Amino acid sequence: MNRSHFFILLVIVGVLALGTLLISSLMPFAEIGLNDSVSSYPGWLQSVAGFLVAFYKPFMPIGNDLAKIVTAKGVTTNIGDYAYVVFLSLALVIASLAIGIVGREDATEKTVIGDKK
Amino acid sequence: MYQEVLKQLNFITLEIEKLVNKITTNKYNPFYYHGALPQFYLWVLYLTGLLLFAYYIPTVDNAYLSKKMVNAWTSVDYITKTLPFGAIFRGMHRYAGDAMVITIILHMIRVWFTDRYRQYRWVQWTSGVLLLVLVLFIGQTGYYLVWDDRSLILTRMTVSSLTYLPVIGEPIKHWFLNGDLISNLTMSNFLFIHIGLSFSLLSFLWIHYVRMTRPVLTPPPAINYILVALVLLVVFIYPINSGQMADLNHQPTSFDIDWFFLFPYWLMAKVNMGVYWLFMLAGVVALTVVPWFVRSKPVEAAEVVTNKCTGCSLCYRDCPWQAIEMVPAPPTSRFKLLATVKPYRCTGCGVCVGACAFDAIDVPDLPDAKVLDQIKGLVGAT
Ligand code: SF4
Ligand code: SF4
Repeated sequence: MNRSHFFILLVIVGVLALGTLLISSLMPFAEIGLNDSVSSYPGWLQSVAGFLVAFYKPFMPIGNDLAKIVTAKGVTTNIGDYAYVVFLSLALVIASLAIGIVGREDATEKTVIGDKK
Repeated sequence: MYQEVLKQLNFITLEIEKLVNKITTNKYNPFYYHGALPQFYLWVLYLTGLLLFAYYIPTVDNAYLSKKMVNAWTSVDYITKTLPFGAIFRGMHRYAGDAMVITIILHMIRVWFTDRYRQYRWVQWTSGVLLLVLVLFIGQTGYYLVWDDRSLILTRMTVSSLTYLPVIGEPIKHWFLNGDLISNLTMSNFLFIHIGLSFSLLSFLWIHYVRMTRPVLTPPPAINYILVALVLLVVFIYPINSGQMADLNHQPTSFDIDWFFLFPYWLMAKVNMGVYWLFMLAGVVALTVVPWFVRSKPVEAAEVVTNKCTGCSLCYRDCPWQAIEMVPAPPTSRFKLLATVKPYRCTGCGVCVGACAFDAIDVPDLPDAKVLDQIKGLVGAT
């Protein structure tokens, strides 16, 4: 693989990794059904809710959009599970690309052809 | 004519593979694992199925629903709506089934286009057709198990199609329902068929692989991850919901069709039973016997140049079809062993030509003579 190919793949993996990081930020919302109402947090979390809300505020719309996609298809419970689904599938794609990048070095067959007698 | 078309299809397939190779390299090209893809989905189905099985209750009884008695539908509803990740596992189970059918069909198309289903490979083809039929039937039983409106109508349609068959129809119907009527025993039978037949797939897979020296059973992890990611994505885009609970006193009139598994029911609804059975049986028989009836150029087996063979066994170890046997060399030879080709097993693939360092084996009828030249050129270049 030449340098430019490697660079392009690195950028793709970087973008996807960033995406994964963003979606992983949705996990607390997934736990409460992708709902941004702080009152749905468990009691022990509510004590730090202010900080959490400030931290996750930018990602809340993503969570709400994800929730809308599945609720529009008739899902009424465990909506947060679907955030994990998206997260996991993205993580698997990135893992696959990463393995591909590392593994393609030895993809060329090194066939050893015996000497002619 | 057919030969020409096949040649073109083969060319297109190989060109697509070459193109994919440029992106994925040959190590991660899914085309090189086309047989292993459905096998991987089978593992996904076993695993997700095991989790669903833990919560599934195979009864149809809904008379005591007010007392919160559970039945197949309520247990599936519990899995889908209450159990954490239950809907996800159910969705994965459902869509991995669809993915398995798609990958099996792609696998079949690939072996057909590359003309790799005839002669010695007939065992692979025939067992493959049988596997496809079994997978379709197992998938259908999965639809009965949910016990919603659709399950009821599918069960009733199956029963009327079986009743149509003379002599064998009644006993099969009795076996199918585990009695004469739909009852709790019917549901246990459906579950038994669904799980029992799923595991019997392994025996058929053994037959499917038995003639291959090195069958590829699992794609590399990078491909597996993508396969799971695809299923998860579909689970997200098309989440699974339950239909209405089946009511034995009510006859549903329509249902959503899953084209991968339920197309026979679509046909059943369109034509009369005689035509339906004729079409289904003729379809399966035609697919099964294709290797003997499609007129293609016979494959010429590899030939050993006796006075050049040193008995090194390299070709014997590399032949993917167990077509080479090492026998004691004639007394006049200075070597101990001699390679011999079993012509009925040879597919003319040419692997042995590449394996032999002594130019002692030839495939007279390699589809493209250039390939042979290429291999010999490579050997000569060292
Ligand atoms: S061509 Fe050679 S390697 Fe291929 S099946 Fe025949 S004997 Fe085996
Ligand atoms: S690889 Fe060649 S030399 Fe060795 S056993 Fe086979 S035909 Fe003979």
